[in-house]
Amino acid sequence: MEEKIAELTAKIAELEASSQVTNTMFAETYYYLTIPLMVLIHAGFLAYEMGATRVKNVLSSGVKNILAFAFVIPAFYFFGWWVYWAFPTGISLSAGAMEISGKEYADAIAWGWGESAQYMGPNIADNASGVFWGAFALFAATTASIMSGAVIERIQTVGFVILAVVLGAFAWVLAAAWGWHADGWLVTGFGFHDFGAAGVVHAAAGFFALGVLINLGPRIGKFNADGTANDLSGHNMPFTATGLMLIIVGFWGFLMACMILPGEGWSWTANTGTTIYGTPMNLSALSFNILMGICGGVIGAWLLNRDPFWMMSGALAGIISVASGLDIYFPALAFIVAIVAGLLLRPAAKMLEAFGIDDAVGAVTVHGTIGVYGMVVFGVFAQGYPALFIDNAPTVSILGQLVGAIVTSLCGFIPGYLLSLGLSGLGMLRTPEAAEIAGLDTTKVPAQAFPEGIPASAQPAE
Amino acid sequence: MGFPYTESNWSVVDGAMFMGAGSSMPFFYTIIAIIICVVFLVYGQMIESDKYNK
Repeated sequence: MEEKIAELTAKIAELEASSQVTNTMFAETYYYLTIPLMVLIHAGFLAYEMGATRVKNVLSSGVKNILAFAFVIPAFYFFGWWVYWAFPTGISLSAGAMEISGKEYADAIAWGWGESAQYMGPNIADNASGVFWGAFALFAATTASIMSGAVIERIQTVGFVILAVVLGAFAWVLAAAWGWHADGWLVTGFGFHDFGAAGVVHAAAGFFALGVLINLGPRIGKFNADGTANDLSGHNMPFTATGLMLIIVGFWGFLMACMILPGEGWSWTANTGTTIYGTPMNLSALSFNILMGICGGVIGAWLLNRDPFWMMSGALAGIISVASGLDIYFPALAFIVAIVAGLLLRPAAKMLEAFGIDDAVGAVTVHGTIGVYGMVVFGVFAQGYPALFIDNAPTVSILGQLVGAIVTSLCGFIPGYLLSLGLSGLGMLRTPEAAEIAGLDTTKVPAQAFPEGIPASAQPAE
Repeated sequence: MGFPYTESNWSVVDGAMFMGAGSSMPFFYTIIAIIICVVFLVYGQMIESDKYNK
């Protein structure tokens, strides 16, 4: 009898260990797969941006988009990851109540040297650090891509890369530390809730782009002497529309990476998926609300535009408008919020144009303006929801969301404006006028986009 | 440099296993990588300015 009990006890221990291995491998694989999905966002932005460019500048647009990815990822490895973990409580770098923040914690896990290095490279006992870092690094690359489209056709490559590095490895990361971390002061002090990073990624990147655009200036020929704007159409709308659809696909990876899985040492709970804040959620909620958000945005944009560029931008705006609450919106409400975002899109873009800002692809509008709209509207409908998974947690409020919207936007705008001002002073921001008129491909790209031109179709076989 | 455990056997690996783990090499690798990025950007800016001047 005792032997039987010992045998069963050993069997149970074996099953528990095996089950834990399965859970750990599933969690690691889950986050790993979000990474290639998010690379699709970058592929989408590449296509979107090149299609929106005039043919004389198309390859230089591609070059800078690719370089943004190539430099932002290592920059995020070198110091961006440290910023996320060090700054949640504010510039004091002190530890927060959840004990997963502050300089000491960040020093212990986020530098590529010393004791910390064990969490920043291959480690057979660590199935989480790399995939988490990877998912965040792709968030960083996404912010650079957002800015990239706004500044096409007249920005210098290295100046742009410097801006991308600061945005991708510092500006949005600071916003995320403050508003997308359980110890973030926006969360603990104001009940700020931004599940899908509408503020910390989109508004931060959109307003960073605005800061740059103010110093960069409009493309030659964009505005007339009387202030009216000309349409400088891209050379390939189908490419742009397809790129936008790829971004939508990649978004699924982005949003699934926003969920924290259960059952691991780093999980908030043993058996429920949660947001980054530890509040409960699941993928079913995302499925309902992402789809309704996409469709609402498209429909809202279609009402005022019959243009596939604006309709697909509407799809993006739709998701961004409900991103803050994808975990808890009622789907029909998410649909309504997204439709309004689609309706707002063109008027908001026109208003920006009226201020003399040349945002070539509507990045400031789609990500900045709609990001702010999304955060504040969420505050209207989600009042009273606890912002953390603890007793007496601060609750979501309109004021809290407004404060979060302002802070995350400034986290982007201030560095974008100041750094681009500095680069402009150094002569590293804007391309020379002659180069812009001749075309940036002719000036600096040793390749031709369409060496045979764009020929008429060959005759079909008989 | 090289395998970070004294015995060349996978059965002793129980944690960090990248080249140079536990030594000061990760620090040097990181610094070199940062320097390369900065140098490449400076060089890239020089090339680009040349092209604009032409």
